[in-house]
Amino acid sequence: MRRLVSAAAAIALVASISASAFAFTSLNKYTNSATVTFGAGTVNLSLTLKRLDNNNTTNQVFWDPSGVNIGVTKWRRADAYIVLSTTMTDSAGAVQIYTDNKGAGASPAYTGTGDCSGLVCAQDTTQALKMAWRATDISTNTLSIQNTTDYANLYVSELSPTNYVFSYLNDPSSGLGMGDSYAQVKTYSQGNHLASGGTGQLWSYVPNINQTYLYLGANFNSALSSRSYSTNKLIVETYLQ
Amino acid sequence: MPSIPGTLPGKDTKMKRIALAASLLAVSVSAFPIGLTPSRLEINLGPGEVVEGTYTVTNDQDFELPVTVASKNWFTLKENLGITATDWLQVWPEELVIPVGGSAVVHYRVSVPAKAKGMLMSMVSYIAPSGPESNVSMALTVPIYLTVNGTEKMKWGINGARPDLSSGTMRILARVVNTGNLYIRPAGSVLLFGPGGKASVINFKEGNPVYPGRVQEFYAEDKDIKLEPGRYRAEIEMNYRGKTCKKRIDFSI
Repeated sequence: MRRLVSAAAAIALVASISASAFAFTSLNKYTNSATVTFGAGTVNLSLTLKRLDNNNTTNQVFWDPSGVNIGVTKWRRADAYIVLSTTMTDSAGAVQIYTDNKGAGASPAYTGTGDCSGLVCAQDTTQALKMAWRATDISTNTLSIQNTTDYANLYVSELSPTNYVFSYLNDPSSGLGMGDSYAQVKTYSQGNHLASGGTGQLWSYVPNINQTYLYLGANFNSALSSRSYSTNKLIVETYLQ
Repeated sequence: MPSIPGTLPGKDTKMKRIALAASLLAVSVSAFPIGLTPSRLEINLGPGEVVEGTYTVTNDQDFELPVTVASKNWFTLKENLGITATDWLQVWPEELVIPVGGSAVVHYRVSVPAKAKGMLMSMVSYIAPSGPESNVSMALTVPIYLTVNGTEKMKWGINGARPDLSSGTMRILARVVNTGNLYIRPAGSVLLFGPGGKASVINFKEGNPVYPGRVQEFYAEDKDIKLEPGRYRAEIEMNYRGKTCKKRIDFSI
């Protein structure tokens, strides 16, 4: 996992982005919870989306355009976050997150030759905005992605300043290996995947930890006005190995 | 969707049926209510051999559930680079709608490429699309491990161990390295001797497999052990399929 660079400062908004410009495209089926029984054990997973400003339940991961200043804003956290509740009794159970923007049914589907992960531009499908994710044990509504390591809001005593709490969100069509730590949000034995960096991967070391707060960000550095960026292939996957 | 012949391939190809015994995958909550049997498949075949079988998918809820089914690459042994999941694993149908309170059958067909060595591994994913009530898709993914008979090599060891006391609890980490061509899933324990000769046994947390060529750190932790100043000795023992590996470390607090 690599360290991320973020927007330096919030400046006045260039208001040419529609309210839905950075919302994910929707399809046709509600998929928010699942209970899985693997072999002798089980993996129970439910997923709730919440607004960052008031913690009310929502149905979209989105970015409020008022928080994006085209040409200025770089990394910006999403205005909604994901609450994962899991109960695993199979020691090989895990959860990962990624986009699949070249996969069947992707809309808009990425058609370029570069990194296809993240939010795809509807008007130019050769372009995409990089995304990032962060898993924590506790929720926070003062989240930001900093140029420096963001650990002020992370409630883990082991965390050292050399650990990086945001990871790039990747895509298997751009080289992401399934099950790689880049994508692993949590595993049964290690708990939540809190950070990585100079001292290696940092996990909560709470086996079968129930709650995971999953925050997302996107890099708007290359975003253009009057365009929309979205993915309908943000996948939260529970798996057995 | 691949075309699956109703009869078996040529006379040189053997056909085996896999008993869909112990494994069980059941999904049964409101939004993604599928049950699936089996979950983890472990198959042993020789080069050129073929096996077919089925997954049974059930829907216990009160609405129809559309699901997309796909195989995908997960781990590829370096000796098998160039062999993709679809070269040896077919699943069909790729899209299905599970009726209310009913079930559906998903077929799989495994055929071992002649040049395959050691282990092939793929995943089968059951994916519910995103929708107006949530723009995050959920997927359930289960593995198929294929051991190529006559080419397997089991070789692994513990190449390092260390205490990690940073959280204020006794945690021992052991680095397991897999230099064979099959995945391993070792389990084991630490016999810990503390100041005054006090002995404790701490089990390692089992978890994900260690794939060939990879190193994985396993940990054993006992939050009830007080971290008293003095000398400690940790005797680590891990086992997998009849092979035992040991490692000893000494440290002080």
